[in-house]
Amino acid sequence: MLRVATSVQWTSVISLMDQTPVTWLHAVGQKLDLIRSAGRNWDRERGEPINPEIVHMACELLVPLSPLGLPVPRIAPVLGGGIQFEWDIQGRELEIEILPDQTVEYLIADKSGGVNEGPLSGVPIDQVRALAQWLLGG
Amino acid sequence: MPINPDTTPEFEQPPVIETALGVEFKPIERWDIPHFGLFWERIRGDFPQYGVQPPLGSQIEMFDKPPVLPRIDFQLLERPEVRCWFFHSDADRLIQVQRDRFLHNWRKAGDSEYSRYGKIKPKFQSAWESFCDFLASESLGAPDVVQCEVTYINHIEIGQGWNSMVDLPQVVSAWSGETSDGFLPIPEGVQVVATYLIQDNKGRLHVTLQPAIRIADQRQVLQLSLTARGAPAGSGTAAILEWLDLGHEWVVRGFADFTSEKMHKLWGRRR
Repeated sequence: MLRVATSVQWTSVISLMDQTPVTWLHAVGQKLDLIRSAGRNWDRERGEPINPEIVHMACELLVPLSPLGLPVPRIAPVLGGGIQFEWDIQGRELEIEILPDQTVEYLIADKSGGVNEGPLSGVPIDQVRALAQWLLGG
Repeated sequence: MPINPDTTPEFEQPPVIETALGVEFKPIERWDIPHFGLFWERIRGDFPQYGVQPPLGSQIEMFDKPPVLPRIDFQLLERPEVRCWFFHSDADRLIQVQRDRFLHNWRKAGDSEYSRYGKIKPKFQSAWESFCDFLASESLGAPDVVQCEVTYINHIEIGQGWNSMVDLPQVVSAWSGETSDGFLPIPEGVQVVATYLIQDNKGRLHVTLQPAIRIADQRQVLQLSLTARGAPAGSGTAAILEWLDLGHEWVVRGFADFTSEKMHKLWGRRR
């Protein structure tokens, strides 16, 4: 038995109607793969290649979020070789940035204009999960 | 009935980002893995890159029972099958080949203009005839074509006529968005799947609309796909092209009928 394809489509998209954890992880994995494969000058200027350990850290932080029902985050490389992922859900915003030295920072904002930001220690899986739950209205 | 292209709807800036013209044929009995490479050698000058994909499942339209929605993910196969992608050097065209399928895709690359059917069809024809020549030269026999297919994929980007599902009636004429009791909030997501019989059971038009994220730029879009499939009158190129014309007409007229006049204005409808 072999998995067969059902679409002749070439252009890659992720359906927003099928957000099971598996497809969520698949979507996140595809985005991280793109970032992992970006070489020097990925921004056509002076973007540094992304250290595979940074991508690995991003995986470690994102995978535990898959059961929470979050939308797939926007994930982008940042100058200097870091990765940022962010969500914006009904007026609440969460940004997590993994810096090139493997430290992690967060920023949260809500529609009242309140902003809170700061560093997270170690590989802050539990702290990121708590921030994600706040994002979902917790 | 001959198709008059002068009456087919036309837009200055349609949201088409990809098209595919193709045929499904009875599996070529002696086709095997080396033939992918041998065929590639013929087209490699124009299609220098390749990729390997899982094969497409057979999608033959039946008319004595309701259409099967495309949810089959697994299929019993007698031997390993693959589908090969051959990428054109311009990065806007793709040939897909497997033991029972041949497709030619065009995709919008960067800021390039939409390549209209009149330009795409000869390219499909040329590629298909090259494939048939190859089969003949390898004594693999002429393909016994059982179905033709025309697919158009449209991306209606967020901010271009819609911002959330509440705007969907402004995009899709067939969707009112109204409820009977006013209990339900605005839908978080909407997916529309519709099928239409082409007259005299000449085929079927499949229309699907769903919100999606386009991976290349992570932009949120409404993906509106229209696929017409049906059996040509024969396996010759003329019969295939005649059916593709019919399929194209249904896709274009279906697109115009399915979408709203407001969006037609945004896309610059000429007729």
